Amino acid sequence: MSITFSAGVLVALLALFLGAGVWIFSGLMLVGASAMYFVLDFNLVRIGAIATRVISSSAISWELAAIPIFMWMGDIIFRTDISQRLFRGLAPLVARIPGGLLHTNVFGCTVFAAISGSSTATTATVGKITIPELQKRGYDLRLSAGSLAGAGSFGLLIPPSIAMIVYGVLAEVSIAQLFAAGVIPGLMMAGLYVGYIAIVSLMDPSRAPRFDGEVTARAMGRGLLELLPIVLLMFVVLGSIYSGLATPSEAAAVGVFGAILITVVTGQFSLRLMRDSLLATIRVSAMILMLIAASSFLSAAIAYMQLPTQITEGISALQLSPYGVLLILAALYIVLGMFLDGTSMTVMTVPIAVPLIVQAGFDPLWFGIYLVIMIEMSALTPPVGLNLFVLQGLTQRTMGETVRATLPFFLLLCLGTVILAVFPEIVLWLPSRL
Amino acid sequence: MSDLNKQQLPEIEEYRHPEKTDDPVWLGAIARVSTLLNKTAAVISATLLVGMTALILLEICMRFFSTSTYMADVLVGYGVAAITFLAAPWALEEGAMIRVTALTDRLNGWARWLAEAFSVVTAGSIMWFLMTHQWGSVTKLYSRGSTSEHFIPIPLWIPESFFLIGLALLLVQFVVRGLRLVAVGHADERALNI
Amino acid sequence: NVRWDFADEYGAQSLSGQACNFFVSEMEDRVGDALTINYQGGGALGYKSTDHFDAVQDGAVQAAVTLVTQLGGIDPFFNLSSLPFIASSLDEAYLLWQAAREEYAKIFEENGMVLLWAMPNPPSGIHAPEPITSVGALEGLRIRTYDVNGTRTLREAGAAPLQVAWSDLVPQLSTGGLDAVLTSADGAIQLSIWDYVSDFTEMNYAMGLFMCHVNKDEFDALPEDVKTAMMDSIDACDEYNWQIIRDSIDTAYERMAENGMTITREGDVPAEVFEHLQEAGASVRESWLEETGERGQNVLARFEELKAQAG
Ligand code: NA
Ligand code: NA
Repeated sequence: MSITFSAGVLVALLALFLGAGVWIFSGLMLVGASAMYFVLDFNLVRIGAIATRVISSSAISWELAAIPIFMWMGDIIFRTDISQRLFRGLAPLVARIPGGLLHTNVFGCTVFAAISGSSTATTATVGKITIPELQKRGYDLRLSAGSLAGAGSFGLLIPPSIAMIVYGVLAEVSIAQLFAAGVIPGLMMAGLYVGYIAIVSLMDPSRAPRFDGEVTARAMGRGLLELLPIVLLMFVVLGSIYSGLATPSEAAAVGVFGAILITVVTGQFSLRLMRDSLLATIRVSAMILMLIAASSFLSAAIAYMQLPTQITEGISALQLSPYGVLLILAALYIVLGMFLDGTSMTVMTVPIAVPLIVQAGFDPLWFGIYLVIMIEMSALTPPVGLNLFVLQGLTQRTMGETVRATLPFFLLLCLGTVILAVFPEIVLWLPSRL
Repeated sequence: MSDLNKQQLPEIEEYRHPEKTDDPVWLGAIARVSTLLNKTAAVISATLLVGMTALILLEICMRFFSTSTYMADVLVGYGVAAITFLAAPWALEEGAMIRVTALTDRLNGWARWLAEAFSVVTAGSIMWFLMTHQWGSVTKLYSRGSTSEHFIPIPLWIPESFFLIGLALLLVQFVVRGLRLVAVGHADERALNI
Repeated sequence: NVRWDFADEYGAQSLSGQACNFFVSEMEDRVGDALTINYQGGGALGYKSTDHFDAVQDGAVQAAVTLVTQLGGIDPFFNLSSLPFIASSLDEAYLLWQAAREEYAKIFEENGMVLLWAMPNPPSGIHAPEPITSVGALEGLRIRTYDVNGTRTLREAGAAPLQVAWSDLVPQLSTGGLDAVLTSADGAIQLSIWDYVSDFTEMNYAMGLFMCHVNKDEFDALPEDVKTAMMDSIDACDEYNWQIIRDSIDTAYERMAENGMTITREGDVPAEVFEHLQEAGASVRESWLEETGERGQNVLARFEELKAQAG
């Protein structure tokens, strides 16, 4: 059984089942079972014993509890007026920067990302308010849509982050450390976006009209007050992790408590809101958790085939430089990212990519951040890009226009990755301070 | 976007159930039973999420007083499994379970029917396969009387049953979709609009 | 030419990983390529240690190394090596393993498995901001324990045992959510424990056993000479395992001392502290004897016999 044969069969099976449109969770199970049957020659009794034990065991997990609970918190916030407050609060603060209110996208997403674990939720929540407001004021749609889609992906880079929890569980990297590692790269990406928007607006002022309102100290003070609830929630969630009051899973529960408290204080609480948010949460959580459980079986099949060791040995025989390995992986992730969502991409590649990356001399913690950026990029690439779909919904433009609008921000993400590869300390410094 | 892939955004989109279906009466009856079971499981799953969150908050409070429930991590772990498997059938029904539709969207007529039939049959088969084996696990653990090794021992067949129930409900739903495919030519719960 | 997979929740560098790889190379020396054992460390196959009992029984994997003190819910007898202060040294832990081996093997046999070798966890002690040289030092100590027996014993002893996942330990220690950790010296260096506490008090509290068990049908299907070689390798494995644990204690103490930790040896801990803890653990021991009945009593009697023989 050669490595090319088993890897080839695996890729063919994936192409068959996923290409035919089989639901991904069942597709992964089918690929795992078929690979065991055809490549490893296991009998059905043994395959059944392996599959049930591994799938069930992977779902029984304290760490994974953070996923549904963080999603619940995000969904409660999604159903309140927090996003209006974000826009009203940020507008006077960013008005004087070249590009004006376009920066509400970047700053709004950065702030919202600090309480939300998902990039789709971040894009949708912030964009729901900013896109109509920016259009009303005559801002260039390409720039406003593009910056939103790009910045929305901070939802995963700035803690809390569902993608980091998934990676942390699969790669056995500390989730608290991953959360800390994402902060500075997240702010750096936000800086790149702000800089790009400012430069483009200076070069072509017609794309971003100057802010017409007066920017007084009082307006800025009122703005800060509007931001208070969301900033409080941010401090509660991240503060409880880094003060040791709560572990990441526990911080999620504290966040839910804080979010419910905010809805009560602002008079937005209702049983209907609770019911709707709960149902929406378990619907998405079930999807993500089923993917993780199913992929754990596929990973087991890959391990029984001894692919991770063989591929690692094969690639190390190629004598690639560490940057060569990163480049190959980036190419792989961009191709996969065209068709798959971030969770599927993570769960399918981590068992092979992590040993590879460790051997190339990279820190698994650093690779977690690299992977999150790859996931963010996948949300911006057609034909399947979650943030592109959100944007299409908000702007009613064609896929082609949407892709052109987001392209510069996709390229900025690539640039960010290169910077992180050259200066890994940007990622590793903060966690090492903890 | 076509009907089949409109559920790309489970996080923010609600599934709109059609007002009218083209299901024959007998199929409609089976589908309603399946839906009812899925919704019940989903409500249990949502309740468990509230319970888990409350238990974690209780554990944090107790830690202030240097004590503990000693059970939070194990119960929450089992809760995650319960949420995963009990909510999955409803999530599938609501179209939240993602699939790659980039290729099948380009197909028409019989080719598309064939791809959908392939999806439903293979997915249903693997659910059946796993269900028979999981039934074996649950009955073995039940008769052996094994418990978890925690402060309050929990019979191991209980957490394993969540997976079994989830598989059974998923299977029922794939059967409904398969029957619909044969009876009316499409697998989704929607009326044909031409 | 037969191929086996061998599951271990921990990695190749860990003590259990070293024990597994010794067994793998031992078998290779004895039977060549008549049997190839693929070590699958780091939980690569998707099983946690608690899954191994059923995974091996069902034939999902042919062999595994398992921390049996987590299997008390399958058979309470498995809790023997986690009883507080049951063995006061590695030598005694070995005698206890010899005394109970037959009983352990019977449980595996009844569940379609064959028991091979064992490896003790390095003895656990208390890592805390001060040495545990008085009963008062335990009072209200917020300490992380790793099993039910430890929690019950330390609660009886007046400490405040808390339940914290291993992955959450570092943030809890660094922010003062926890004062102390009950674990082995080897476990503590993995946490760089010296960043948080200054003292290790040697307690020899317990040495929970890892065991290597294999599926009986797969074992029976092996060629006769391979089976014999496998059973013959047990003593060599046991001996090697006890030796690496002995070495790991010295290495860990050196590392801890290099990093400025103070190590209080068992001999420097006043007898009253041990008496206090033993008393606190008495109920744990009693309820274990109740649950295991005659089996438990016989094994303890046999253990006393072996200790007397060893002098
Ligand atoms: Na976030
Ligand atoms: Na994409």
